[in-house]
Amino acid sequence: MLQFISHYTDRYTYLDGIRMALEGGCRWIQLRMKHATDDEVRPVALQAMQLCKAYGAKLIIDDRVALVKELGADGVHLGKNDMPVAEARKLLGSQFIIGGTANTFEDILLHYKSSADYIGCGPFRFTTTKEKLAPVLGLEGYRSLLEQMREAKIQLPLVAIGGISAEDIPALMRTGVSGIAVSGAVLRAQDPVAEVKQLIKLTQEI
Amino acid sequence: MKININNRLTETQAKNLQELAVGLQLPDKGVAVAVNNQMVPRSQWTETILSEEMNVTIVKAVCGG
Repeated sequence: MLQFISHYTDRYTYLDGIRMALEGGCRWIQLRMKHATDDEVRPVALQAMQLCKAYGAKLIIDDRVALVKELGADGVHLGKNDMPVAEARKLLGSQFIIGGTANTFEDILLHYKSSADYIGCGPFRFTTTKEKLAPVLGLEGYRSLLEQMREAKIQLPLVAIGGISAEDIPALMRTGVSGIAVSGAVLRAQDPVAEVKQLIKLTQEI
Repeated sequence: MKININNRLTETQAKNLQELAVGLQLPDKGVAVAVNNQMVPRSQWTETILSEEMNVTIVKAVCGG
């Protein structure tokens, strides 16, 4: 499963990126506008929701629980400095997807107990998209975390994130992760739509 | 039949994704389901037939799996 995390670049706006990801076949989009206000995010989110609806894709908005509820987006992704998952669940109920960022097994356990629906886990390697970063996990990190999840009978999908490019995907999928989140790999590609197609194909070839 | 749900081999009587969703008491909204790592929109759940050892990913805190 591929999750595309929107980002703007010199070439593309947030919506350009989302449009290209959808066109390439991605059906799971995260709108992430870290330093914007809710009022700046709202119109972009509404357009993103329309696009996603047209493609039958899910739209998750980073960090903004109240906005997700207000707009009726599919869900929210919560980073380590955002609202705790348990609090978001109380506000949103069960009819929204809630994802939480984890760097360690303790984070995963906490998200699990807080009834998160998926875990965004990383960073796989050093990335330039994020400003603050925990130590990189590498393949071994994912293997170990997934093993600990199995032992603890935590059956949540884990999405690998952080500086992942096409050539990393086969080995990463073999560790047992459920999905891959990408941003830069798509937006920096010469042909982002073709890149999304290739990334999806790679996540399915295991 | 046994299918893999979020990496765990699970016995199910469900024939398609829709029946699986009902069996797992998934809510009407706020769920994403992928088969063999490709997201399947809810409108296609009924026509998505389950097969032995199929890989199903459910983006939802699944109870009792």
